[in-house]
Amino acid sequence: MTDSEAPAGVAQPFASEAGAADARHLPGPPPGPWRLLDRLVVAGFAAALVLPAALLVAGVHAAQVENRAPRTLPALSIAGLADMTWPAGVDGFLTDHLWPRPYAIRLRGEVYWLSGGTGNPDVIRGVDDWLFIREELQPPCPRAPAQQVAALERAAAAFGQRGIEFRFVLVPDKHTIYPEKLPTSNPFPPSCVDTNREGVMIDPTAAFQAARAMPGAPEVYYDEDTHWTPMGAAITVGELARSFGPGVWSAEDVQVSGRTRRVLDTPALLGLPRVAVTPKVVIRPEVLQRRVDVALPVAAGNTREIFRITSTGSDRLLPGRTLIVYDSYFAIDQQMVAPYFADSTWVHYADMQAHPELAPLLGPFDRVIVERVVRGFYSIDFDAMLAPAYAPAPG
Amino acid sequence: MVFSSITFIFFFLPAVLAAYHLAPRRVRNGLLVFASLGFYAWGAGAFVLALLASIATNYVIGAQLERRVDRGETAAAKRLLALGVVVNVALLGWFKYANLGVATWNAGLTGAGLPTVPWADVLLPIGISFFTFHSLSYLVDVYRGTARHLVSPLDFALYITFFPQLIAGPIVRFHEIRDQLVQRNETFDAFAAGVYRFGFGLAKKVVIADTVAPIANAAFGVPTDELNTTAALVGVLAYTVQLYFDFSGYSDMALGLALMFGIRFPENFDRPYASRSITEFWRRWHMSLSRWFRDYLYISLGGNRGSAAATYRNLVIVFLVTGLWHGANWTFVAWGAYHGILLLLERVAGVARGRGPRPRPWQAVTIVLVMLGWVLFRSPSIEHALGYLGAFLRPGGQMPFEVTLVLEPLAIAALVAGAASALIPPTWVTGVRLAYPDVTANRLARLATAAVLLPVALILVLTGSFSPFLYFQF
Repeated sequence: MTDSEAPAGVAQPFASEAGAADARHLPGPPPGPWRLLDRLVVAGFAAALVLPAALLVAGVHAAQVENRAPRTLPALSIAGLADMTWPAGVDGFLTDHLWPRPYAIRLRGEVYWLSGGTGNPDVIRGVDDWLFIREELQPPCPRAPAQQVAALERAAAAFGQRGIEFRFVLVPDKHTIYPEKLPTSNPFPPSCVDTNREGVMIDPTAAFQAARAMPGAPEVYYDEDTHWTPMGAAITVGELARSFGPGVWSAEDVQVSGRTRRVLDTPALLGLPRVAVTPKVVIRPEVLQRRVDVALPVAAGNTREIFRITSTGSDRLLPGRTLIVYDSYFAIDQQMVAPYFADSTWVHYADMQAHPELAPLLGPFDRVIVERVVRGFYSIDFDAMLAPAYAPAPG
Repeated sequence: MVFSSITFIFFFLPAVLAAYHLAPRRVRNGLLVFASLGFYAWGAGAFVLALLASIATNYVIGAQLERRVDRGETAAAKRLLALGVVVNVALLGWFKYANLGVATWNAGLTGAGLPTVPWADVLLPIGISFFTFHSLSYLVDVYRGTARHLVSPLDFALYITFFPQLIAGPIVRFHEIRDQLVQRNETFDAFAAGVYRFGFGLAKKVVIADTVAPIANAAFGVPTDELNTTAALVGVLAYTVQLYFDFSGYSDMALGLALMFGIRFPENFDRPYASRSITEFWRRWHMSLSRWFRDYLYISLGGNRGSAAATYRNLVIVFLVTGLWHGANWTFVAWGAYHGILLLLERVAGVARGRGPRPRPWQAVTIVLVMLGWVLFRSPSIEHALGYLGAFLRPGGQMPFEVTLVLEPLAIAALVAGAASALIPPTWVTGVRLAYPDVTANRLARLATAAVLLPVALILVLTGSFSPFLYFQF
């Protein structure tokens, strides 16, 4: 029915027969040039549909762009068919391996970026295109600050009773160091990360702010990454080293030499591969580091690295064995942390939480250092995570 | 499997199209049935057995029904029809409404302080509302003699399972399509029209509907007491656009796919948001369902042949059932009742007797009424819907950050473009005439589809499952 057709009599609230299925209304041929267009479009459509699958069959696979291992083709089974896990697995395989997909993702990301948005509600675009992840502005807060600080104090006391030095490094979230870079219309209310955390041992916030106040100083965080720059790492490592007493840290430990590249993590969430080049910071270049992976009889649910770094070449190394329970910040700059410890064993905090059997297998230790970013601070059960490390050795 | 998935577009569709057009004509229906069952099983798993059982049962009843009708055994035919209707409605009732019935019953028992009935939820086979209505259409058409029973079980199975309409319609009445199932001519022109139509529908779905969906999801996802007037309005506007572009886009894709196999489906949408009354809205919205209810329920109830009161009663019944058909939740019943009441009021006010289109301002009134209905339709509960409606009266305050986060420039652009298409009535908006290359505007629409919409839509399909992690996942 068109606007020009007036309903005759009493109109029914039901569709008329206009437009009902009817083979007599199959489309006919359009005039000359339009028919040529039709041919071109059908050919293009066929090519667009067939080409990706043909390339896949020919062994051309897509690059992985989602920061995970590509899914494999599942084995066919009756059970998998009945409960639909097999089709879902095949969908996942085809999706991950389809050749044009990474290019399409990047194109989409660029269009969203050019439009002024991000296309991902988990990424907040701020002033001067600084990027923040939503999680740092809206972190989970299952535990109160006082509860966490008390847990750390209990751990420190327990370690102290066994003669083990304990340090906790709390890495500030980027927005607390660069609040002016948040969008002016930032809708997030204050959260647990903004509350008082007095009592936490090493919090480089003040040092970062002081560094920012110096004219011409390089940024301590990347504008498009959740992490600190090498300069931010150096400042935190300095704070940590100084906490072990005079003489451990020297301003001459830090040397800026050349440039370093980092593939930025936050644009990757938008499908945009981007790299930042910053001044390269080397700490204690005279120290020789040797890293070996640690093989353990632990049925770990993931393959995050557990490794050991032995350092030599300096008389200012902290002796004995050090356990470093790391988060991503220490992980990316492990070579800046390790030169202060003669023998450090590195375990990801998630593995420490999930596997209480790890600490007895790896220990004993003379000191324990835990590093965690603020947005994850309130999620950790410190008592459960650290108890195996300060529990008396069996026997 | 959904039409906008990578598996469907880049693997299933090209394989089926190639196999179909290369296959001898005599095996094409069998091939389509096989492919359609695979299409269904991909997303429904073992429920394909329920679909097969439904096909077998209805085929046998239909064959027996026609035999009785041909012999003039009216009473026996009526009994068989009743049996078929009961079987189909019982199947739909069990799978779709048993959970709602037991939940409602248990709520009553809880209210009375009595122990509840233990119950394990029944899983819903995807598309059951559609293939059940197809089966009922088949039985009633054979009974009424408006179409002959299909002798070949494969032809009948194709009617029920044909993948373009299997899980989301359009609802094709048997008599509309019977002859096309038996014999059809696949032409290049129909195929080309199908490509345009499919591309247009795909673009409606992934460019507009999927882009504005996060806004609607955010607004309807936050507690209603956190919504202010602006957020509530933006949310319902986004849902209004999303629902139409999603559903009509899916219908366009179905029509396009069918054309690629030489089959013409009924149109399902005709610029419904350009309507100037609720009566007109129902002539333009989900037209295939509307026709189905008219033919098989409204007319069966007596239609408008009786007194005014009987007509009103019939309308209310039809729209209550229409609401319930959309989902097993009292919100859908309330939505159906809401529309039924509006239709009654329009009848009483003489709107339905109007001799011409109502003045244009009535379009604004109508769209507001429709949007209020969508609040009921989208809300998970009546309480939520009432809370959401209450938010319209809460000016000031801050918009929830969940909504603010998704109000990105491109989402706003899609929302504005989608909403604007409801206000201006160009014929290409719904794609109704996209299949007919006899108007310059439609040719230009085809050109736009080929040059812009289809490529963009295919790119978005490729990115649709993008789900990156900040840290590497092992």
